[in-house]
Order: sequence, then structure tokens, then C-alpha cells
Amino acid sequence: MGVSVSGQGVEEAIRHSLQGLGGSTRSLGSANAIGAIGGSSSAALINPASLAQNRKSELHFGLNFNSINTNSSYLTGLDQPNFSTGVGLSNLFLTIQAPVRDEMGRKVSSGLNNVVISMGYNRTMDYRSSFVLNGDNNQNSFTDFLAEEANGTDFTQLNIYGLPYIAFETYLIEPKNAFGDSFSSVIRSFNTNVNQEVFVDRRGSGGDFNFSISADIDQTVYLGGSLLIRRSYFNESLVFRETDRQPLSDTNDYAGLEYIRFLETRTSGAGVNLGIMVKANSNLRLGLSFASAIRTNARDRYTQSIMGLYDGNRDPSIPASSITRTTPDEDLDGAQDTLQYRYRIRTPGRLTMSAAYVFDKLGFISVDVERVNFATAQLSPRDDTYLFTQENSDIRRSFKTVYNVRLGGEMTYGKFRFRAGYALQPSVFQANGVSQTTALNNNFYTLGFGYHEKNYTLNAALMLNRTQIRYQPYELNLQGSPAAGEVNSNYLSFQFGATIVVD
Amino acid sequence: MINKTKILFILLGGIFASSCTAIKTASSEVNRDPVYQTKEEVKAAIVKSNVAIERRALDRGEASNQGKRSGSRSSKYDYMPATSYAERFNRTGNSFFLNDRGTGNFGNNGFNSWNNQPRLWMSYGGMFNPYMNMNMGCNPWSNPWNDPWFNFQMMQSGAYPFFTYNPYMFSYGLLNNGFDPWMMNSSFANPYFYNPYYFHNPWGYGNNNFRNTFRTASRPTRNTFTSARRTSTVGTSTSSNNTTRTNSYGSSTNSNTNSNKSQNSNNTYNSGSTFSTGGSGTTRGGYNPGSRAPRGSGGTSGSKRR
Repeated sequence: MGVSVSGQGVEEAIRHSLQGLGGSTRSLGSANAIGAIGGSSSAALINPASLAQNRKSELHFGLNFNSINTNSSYLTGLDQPNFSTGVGLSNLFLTIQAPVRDEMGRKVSSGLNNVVISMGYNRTMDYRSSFVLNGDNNQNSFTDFLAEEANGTDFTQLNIYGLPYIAFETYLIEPKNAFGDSFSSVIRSFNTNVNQEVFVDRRGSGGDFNFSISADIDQTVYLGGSLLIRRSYFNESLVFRETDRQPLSDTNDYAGLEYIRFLETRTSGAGVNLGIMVKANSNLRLGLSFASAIRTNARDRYTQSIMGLYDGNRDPSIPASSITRTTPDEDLDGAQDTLQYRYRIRTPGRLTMSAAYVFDKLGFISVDVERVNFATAQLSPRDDTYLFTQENSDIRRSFKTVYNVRLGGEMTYGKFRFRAGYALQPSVFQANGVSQTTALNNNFYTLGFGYHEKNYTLNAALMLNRTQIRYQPYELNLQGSPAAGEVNSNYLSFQFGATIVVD
Repeated sequence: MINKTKILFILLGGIFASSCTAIKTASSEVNRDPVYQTKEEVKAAIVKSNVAIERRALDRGEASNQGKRSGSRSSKYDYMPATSYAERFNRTGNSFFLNDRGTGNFGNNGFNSWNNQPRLWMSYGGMFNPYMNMNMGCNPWSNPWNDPWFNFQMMQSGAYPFFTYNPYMFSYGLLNNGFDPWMMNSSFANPYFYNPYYFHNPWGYGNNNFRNTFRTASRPTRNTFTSARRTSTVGTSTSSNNTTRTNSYGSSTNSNTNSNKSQNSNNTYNSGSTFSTGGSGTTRGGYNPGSRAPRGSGGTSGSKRR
């Protein structure tokens, strides 16, 4: 049996700890494997030291066009395809080169001889995804989940902002005789035959605002530090629909339900990134960088509503065939309240070891190995005293240290550059089965092209990101949960970028 | 390397064959690419750029090693004449601001005294001011009261030539209709004067009828949000290794993931004797559909929160 996680924030903590490929178009072409290469604005993300190689002040920008194509399967249902497209700014970055000068104003060529200050934005995550799960479930119902969620609290004491309360109010769950705090599904029969449909639509992106300073010592050792502010926006619409497939043939009153939740999470945090790069000889370059844990302020805003649907010949104790409840309107302004919860996420630090071999003027190959311990992600409260003890131990138990690998290369031909890369982000879950290890890996394949002129550079990159996730609509503890849906997604992005020499 | 070039020609033949020469001449773009620059190239570029820097400095007459070109540092002939126009200009003293024609004294340059005769820079007529359509100012010897430097009221007028916007232009004399040599004297009582204390309400002075208006004309009501943690999680990513896409039952070991139940320390639901253990679990039956629990009793009461 696998391990899955639940509870507010665990999902968010991992989501905001992940970092995809992104940033500049040049580095994307070689799968961001540029820790020991630099030469682009993404260096601020990975190893700011390599920025000190720049001998010109440059403005970089990139625009990303992408499409995501998902194919999902759930229970016995047919595969459900889905497709969506998007556009986004991938990077906007300014590097200012300040050569060190002697008292005569001449540039120094040895010792500390070049300082590069840079600032800008690099996008690292695109949360966009959209998928549909559909299948028949003859083992359990969402109402069983609702009953389990409500268990333990007397029906008169249910939290009015919680899901159990609105489920109770819509007659989807019922307290048992003589036990006001243990609940049953509105489906009285032990037989279940329902069709379940989940629609998930996610949007948003995350990225870093960097301010970096880097120094070139003797054209051999490069040092760099970067202050980064990571901000992200995540938006999810979730619709869970269940339809009873045996409407009139049993004693059930139940006809179906629809649960809708809108969730928006914004995060903002700060951290530092320190790096060193060494040109061991004219061909071999080595890099080491450490991006600190980022202490992030997170804010969820959400609304939810549930609608219970009942048969025409239902028991008269259920007053209507359709009953809807939303999160309440406590401030009496006529609209349902948007609920908000503020908390903190500490994302894990990243240690990146890089090596590159430069074939003189012909090209390079480069590899980055990035160590991230997702088990160190942590949740903490901001406004209340809820300590997330359970969630944090879930994180420690469920997630592990991974080594992300990025491989990239570039070949030059005069003004032209041809690039290719591959990146692998292994599954962050501890309890992957053997058969699962491949499936939940995150694979990135990239191709790139560049055209270099004296005062400008044009780049294009193509990235295919193939992932598979398991999506568990709900989890049961008193009985087996439904098998998780499989969502296979192909994220294809085309990025165009330009670098303009400004000085 | 040759193989690689051949392969590239095969791949890109038609496109690049015609521009082959251009590509070869463009290989300097590789040298310029910081990724491919070697230490020697960087140093060579620095030397090259320093030559340009020194040449520019020479042209400005600022070069520090000017005159050292003979290579001999001790010879009296070592000091060679300045090569630039600017340097010659400075050396001959033919400078506008360092003018000493009148007195031979650099101190008497016409800027600091009444009676220095040499004034190269202005006639008695002053400077033509297009706003006033006359010659104005800069002429304290003929009519100091006409000079916006000298005369405060002129300073507030369009005669004042040196700022496109004069922040004092409409402040004192025009509104107070009087001379205000202390400049700030009554300006705090003047609602139109820029005054940070009245920033939010320019009418908020004295007994003005509108002095309190800013209190009622407030911003639109800010959205308020109710703070509530999501205690139920619907939709999670999971590493469940159940890849057969069939339901898995009979196992109960996933209770270790029960993250949000344990907050409710009241665990009586586990001891309910009416729990059915058969069928599809314990969340079915056990209640009388004819007598359901009362609904609608809560919703606004704080006691409903757990």
C-alpha cells in the first residue's frame, strides 16, 4: 500500500518546493544544465558565480508559449483527454558589468577584475494543468469520505467553515442513533454503484526575483551571491461530481452530489543562493552552489459549496431534491465568505554540483546534480497556534532526498548554436513501489537554437516535460480508498528569447 | 572536428553552404561569447580596451602618462608638448572662466565684485526672456529689481528662467497678495500651499465647512476574509503504487496517513457498538431515516466552531 498525504499544507509544501526548468531561453535549450557554464540569466537561479563571466552589460528577456495535454484514467472509466494552452514571461533580466579599474581608469586583468551585478525575474514553475477523471465506483462513495471527515465531532458542534458541516446540512451524512459524533453516509445500503467525475483546472506560476552580485578573480575563480524573492500564485478549481447509478432500485434516497472548491494560494518568501565556479583548466569547469531554504509566507483563499441531490421518491425527512450549502456568510454582506488561512512553508535547500567540459570553441557538455531533501519541508502557523505537527511528520515520513540530474550540451557553428538537454527529477515520494519509480519521475527533454551577433543574441528553445501523477480524489480510513487516478501529462513549451547588449 | 563539420554540412547543407564564408568570418562571435572565452582572450580584450581608454584620455588631455613617450623618465626633453586641443587650450589660459585679461588676477573674474571691469559675458541689457518679451535679469548693476535672482517677486514669475517649474511660483505673492520675505510665514494656513499636514484634506483647516469631509469620503470597504484552515483535503497527489487501476480493499494499513482525524481527540466514534463491520465499511446505516438530526440550527454561532 502506498503512502499518501493529506491535510492542509502538505500538498502545498511540496508543490512550492518543486522547481521546474525555466529562466533564460539559452539555458532552457540545454535543460538548465548551466551550473558550471553560466552565460545566461538562469545562472542566478542555479549558480550566480558564473554571471561574473559576462563582459558586457546585457538585457535578457524570454517569452514562453506552452500547451499541456493530459490523459487521465480513473477506476473503470475511459481515458479522458484534456488540452490547454498558455503564454507567460519566462525571464526579464539585466546584468550590469562593472570592470575593476586601477587609479588610471584602466581595466585590471588579474586578481579581482570583474564584478557583475544583475537583477531580474526568472520563472521556474508553471502550475497549469487541467484534467478530468471519470469512472464508476461500486465500492464506496464520496459520502463515505464526508462521514469519516465528520466523525469525532458531535453534529451540533461541527465547524461551520468545514466540509463536514455543509455535508451535514445538505443531508449527505447523518449522525448515527445514540452517537451524535459518528456519522453515516446518506446511502444506507451497503451496495454502492456511483459514477464519479472529477474536474481539476489549475493555473498559476512561480518564479524568483533575483538580485545577484558576482566577481571574477583572475579569470579562474568566480564567486557569486544572490538574494532571491520567490513568489508564486496557484489557482485551482475543483469539481467533484457523483451520480447514483441505481436511482430507484433500492432504499437509498441518494441521487448524487456536486462538490465545488475554488482555491487560490499565494506565496512569497526570501532566500539566498551562493555559488563558486572554477575553471580548472581551459576546458574543465566545476561549480558548486547552495540555494538556502526559503521561508515562505503562504496564504490560501478558498470557497466551497456542496449540493446534495435526492430521488423524487426520497424519504420525506429530506425536504428537497436538491439542497445546496456554501461556506457561510458570516459578515452578512449577501455573498458567501471567502475563507482564508495564512501559514508558512519552509522549502528545502538545494545543493548543486556542476561540471562542464568546453571543447574549445566548438561547444560544451555540462551536467548538474542537484540534491534536494524534500523531507525537510516544513509547515508552521502564522496567525493561529495550529502547529502542523501531524502534517510535518507526514512530510518527513512521505518524502525523501532526491538527486535531480540535468544534462545539457551546446554546439557552435559560427554565429549559430545548437543545444539539447535532458533533465530528470526523480519522484519525491519515499514509498514508491519498484514499478512506480519510473512512472512518477519527471522527465524534461529540451532542444535549443541560438543566433549570436555582436550586439544581440536570439534564442529559441523547445521543452517537453512528461510527467505522471497519481491523483487521489479522496481517502478513506475505515475502508480502502478508491485507486488513485492516473494523470499523464505532456507539457510542451516553446520559448523565444533575446539578449541585447546595452553597454 | 572535421567529421563534425561534415555532419553539419550534411544537416544544414543547402542553407549554410552559400553563407560558408560569412560563417567563418562570424566565428569571432564565438570568441565574444563569455562561455567560450579563454583566460588569454579575456586578458587580450582587456589590454585592447585599455589601449582605447588611454587613447580617449589622451584626446581629453587627461592622460597621466602624457609626455612619457620618449621612454626616458629623467631627461628634460622627456616632457613633450600636449597633443590635444583641450590640453593646449587649458595651458594657454585661454579659458572663459579663468579669464585674467582685466587685472591679471584670477580672483577678479567678474563674478564676485561690483567694480571689476572685464565682463565678457553679458551686456547691460540683460538676457532676453521670451515669456516677458523683454530683456531680463542677470544685471544687478543696472536694475537689480528686475533680476529674478535678486527680487523675490520676480522669482515667482515666469521671468525666472532657470526652472521649468518653480514650486514657489503660485504660493505667496499671487495668492496672499503680499510680499512674504520669510516665505513660510502664512503658508500653513494656505490650503493650496503644498503642506504635508494637510495632505489628505486640502480643506481641513480652520473652520472650513469641508474640514472633516475626508472622514466620510473613505475608500471602498475592504474585503474581509474569514480565517479558517482547510481541515478536509479533497484531491491529493499520491505515490500509491496501485497501478492496476482496480480498487484495493481489505488492507487497512493506510491509517498511518490519517493526518487530520487525530486532532479530534474525542475518539468515541471508534467504539460505537452500532457500527456495522460488514459490507463496504462503517459509514453506512445505523440511523433512522425517519428521524434525522435537526438541520439549520447553526451557521452563525461561534460555538459551532470546533
